[in-house]
Amino acid sequence: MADAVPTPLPGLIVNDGEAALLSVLDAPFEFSRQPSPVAPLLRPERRVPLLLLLVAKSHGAGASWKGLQVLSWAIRDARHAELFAALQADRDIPDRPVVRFEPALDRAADLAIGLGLLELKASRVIRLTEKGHRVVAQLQASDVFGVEQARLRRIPGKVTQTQVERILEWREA
Amino acid sequence: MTLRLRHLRLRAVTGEGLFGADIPLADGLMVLRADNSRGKSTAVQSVLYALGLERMITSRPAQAVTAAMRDRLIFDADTKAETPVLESWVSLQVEGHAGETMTLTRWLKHKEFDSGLVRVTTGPLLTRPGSYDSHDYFVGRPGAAGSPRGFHRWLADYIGWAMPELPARDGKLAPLYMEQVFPLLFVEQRRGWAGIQSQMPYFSGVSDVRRRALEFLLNLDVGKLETDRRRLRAEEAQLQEDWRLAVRAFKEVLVGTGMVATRLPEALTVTWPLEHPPIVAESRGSEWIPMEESLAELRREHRDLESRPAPQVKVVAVGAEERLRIALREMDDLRQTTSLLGEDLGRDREALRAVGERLAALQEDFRQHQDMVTLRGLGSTDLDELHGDCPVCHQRLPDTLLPHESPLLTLTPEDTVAYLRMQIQLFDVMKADGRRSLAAKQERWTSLQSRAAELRGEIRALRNTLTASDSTPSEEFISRQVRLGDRIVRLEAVDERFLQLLATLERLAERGRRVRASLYELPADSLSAADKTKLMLLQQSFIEQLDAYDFGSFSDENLRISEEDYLPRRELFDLQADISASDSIRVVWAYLVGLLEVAKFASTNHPGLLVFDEPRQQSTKQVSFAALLRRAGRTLGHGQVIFATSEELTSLQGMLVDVSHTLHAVEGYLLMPVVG
Repeated sequence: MADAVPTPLPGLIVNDGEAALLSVLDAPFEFSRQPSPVAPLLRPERRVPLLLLLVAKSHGAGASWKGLQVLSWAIRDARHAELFAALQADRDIPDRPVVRFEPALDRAADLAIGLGLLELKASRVIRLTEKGHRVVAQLQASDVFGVEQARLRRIPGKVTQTQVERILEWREA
Repeated sequence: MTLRLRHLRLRAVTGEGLFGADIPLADGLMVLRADNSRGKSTAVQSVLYALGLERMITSRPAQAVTAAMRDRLIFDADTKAETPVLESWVSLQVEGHAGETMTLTRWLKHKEFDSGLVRVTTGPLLTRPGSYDSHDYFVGRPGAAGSPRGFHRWLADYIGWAMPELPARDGKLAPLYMEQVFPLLFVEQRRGWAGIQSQMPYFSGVSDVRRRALEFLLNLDVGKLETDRRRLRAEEAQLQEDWRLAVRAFKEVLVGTGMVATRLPEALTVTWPLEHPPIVAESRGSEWIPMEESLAELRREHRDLESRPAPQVKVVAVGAEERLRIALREMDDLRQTTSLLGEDLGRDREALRAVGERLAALQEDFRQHQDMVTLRGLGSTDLDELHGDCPVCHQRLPDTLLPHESPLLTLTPEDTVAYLRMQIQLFDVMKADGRRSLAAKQERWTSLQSRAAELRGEIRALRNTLTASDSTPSEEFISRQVRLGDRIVRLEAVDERFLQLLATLERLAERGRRVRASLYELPADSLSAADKTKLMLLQQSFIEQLDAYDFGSFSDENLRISEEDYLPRRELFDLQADISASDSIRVVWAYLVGLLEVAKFASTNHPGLLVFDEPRQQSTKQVSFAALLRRAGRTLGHGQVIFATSEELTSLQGMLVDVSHTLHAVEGYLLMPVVG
């Protein structure tokens, strides 16, 4: 670009030298921050209602922290769901890793408890409140979370804490 | 469009003998009087049952008719002693559009005949017994409205109705069912008086079925426009599909020929001929030569060879040596190019796979964001707080679940959906384009392979020529001629298919143009002048009647019939929202009689039949049916209004003075022993 000579600015500026040039440039700069896209995994408006569905899938509509992590992992991906079902049926697929714990789920749970959708019982069991039950009923009647709800339906019955413990135990050694 | 009821017959076989009732039904105002607990409902429900319309009032067809007909009936009026019903059926003699009289028989209880069966006897079996043909149809199960053996399909034809297909929620078409039209013709005492169309069953997934039923009954053009639009769209979709199939079939012909088609539109294109017409090109080296050019060249060369006799070896030997050298060098080049192209193909495949993976990830993200948008749309108040402030400390709740207070300004789900959609579009294009270029490279590879085979032949022939004795004809010359002939035949076959494809596409483009023009010319979904006249007539009749019936809830000056849902409104509000039970009865009566009256002045689909089952006493004591009956009696020319009531006979006769009518009064119980 060495040969790209800047075209002279209108006569006045060139004649009056630098001062005039600066006066043109001396306008306030404005920066406005543009919003950034955030992964759905990190969005409370998605994770909180989804979490309620997970609690509802747990035995007696109550779940332990571990149980939620396991269920949440299971429905995130079709392959996870497949492995979960296999483990439930006492079969293992040894070349696939299990559960990745996820801090965002904890924060979603905190938020849901704070908003009165879930309650934390003394035994560290998380249960749906009446309000939470209402939301679950609404979600189940709608077509929201179609894929996730279908994956949940494919898990037979309610998930008990014993099942969760056993699945984790298998992979402990 | 005609349906008249001529005669109703009920029969029940019991251990105490045969019981039953016979009610002749006349044109005009037909008043049927019976006590409420003595068979009025039985008679009315039997009519519904015979017409297969019980789903209007109950979801359990087994309970469509009162217990007296299906379970136990009182055989002794004095002691009220009951006896079980062993067998029972209902027969209804009717007259349809073409003036033919038929008799419908449906069993309620029978060892052999299922309640889903309706027997249609082609004659006045009840009033003039004889031997007539009869046919069996089924009702109350899928297909009753559409199948040739479906009773409601038969009934629609008989009335003279062509039931429209309506867009249902799942994007498919669902017919308008009989049960959805009859709430405008038949008012049953239990639920019918709560409001206009209050007995509407929901089972077709058509979201605005009330409006559609009214459009059908009034034969409004506005409903037909929608049907036309659906039909044209379906036709367009079919053309689209034909186009896609034709193009795909042709591309399959090209696979393995070393040729590709370019500028061939994948989707229906209505501007024909195209500005840049499609061409088929053949790969030669790194060039793509249009097939026509290539074909012309081959033909020229072939003709040239044919015009000369095969030269002797001694004549061509020197040239052959030189040509063998060139051919061997070309063969070397070809090997190298082929191997480079092979690597290239591998890389392209890998890139395409990566694009596919990226696209799948984007689509998953898109779906999850769309869920969020839908969630907001659900309007759950319990989830509202997620978008608000903390209920305890009133600080803004975080937009993300990131570990720390995030400085991020988060894009809303709606904006993210739009953002992702753009990315998906771009990646879709990349994927399609990647596929296309991969396919073209594959064809190049094929063409290189066949060129190599050709060269091998040529080299062999040249070598043979050089080692043959001087006076033999040149083998190389002859084999070249044969190879040329083969290629010409192959190219001509492709050319032929290509011309066929162009002819097909031209025809599709022409039809597509017509369909799109018709779609464009369809007026917007609005009422035609004739529609407006009909609604005006309905409004006039409706207001006039409410006036005459002492409608108490509002003054009539603000009443009108809505042009949106064709229901009565007071200013902008639904008239039926907060009116008294007795006014609700007046509204239903006035509206349904209004629909019947419109048919006198305009062409509608009204069959000229109305059946009213008087509501139970407590809600009617405010309503004097005298005025209602007078109107019905007065306005009826050729129609039939059947009014079932339990009013005291003397009071009823008082109401009917000066009203032309036919009265059938039942003394005591409706179901009485039948002799013979």
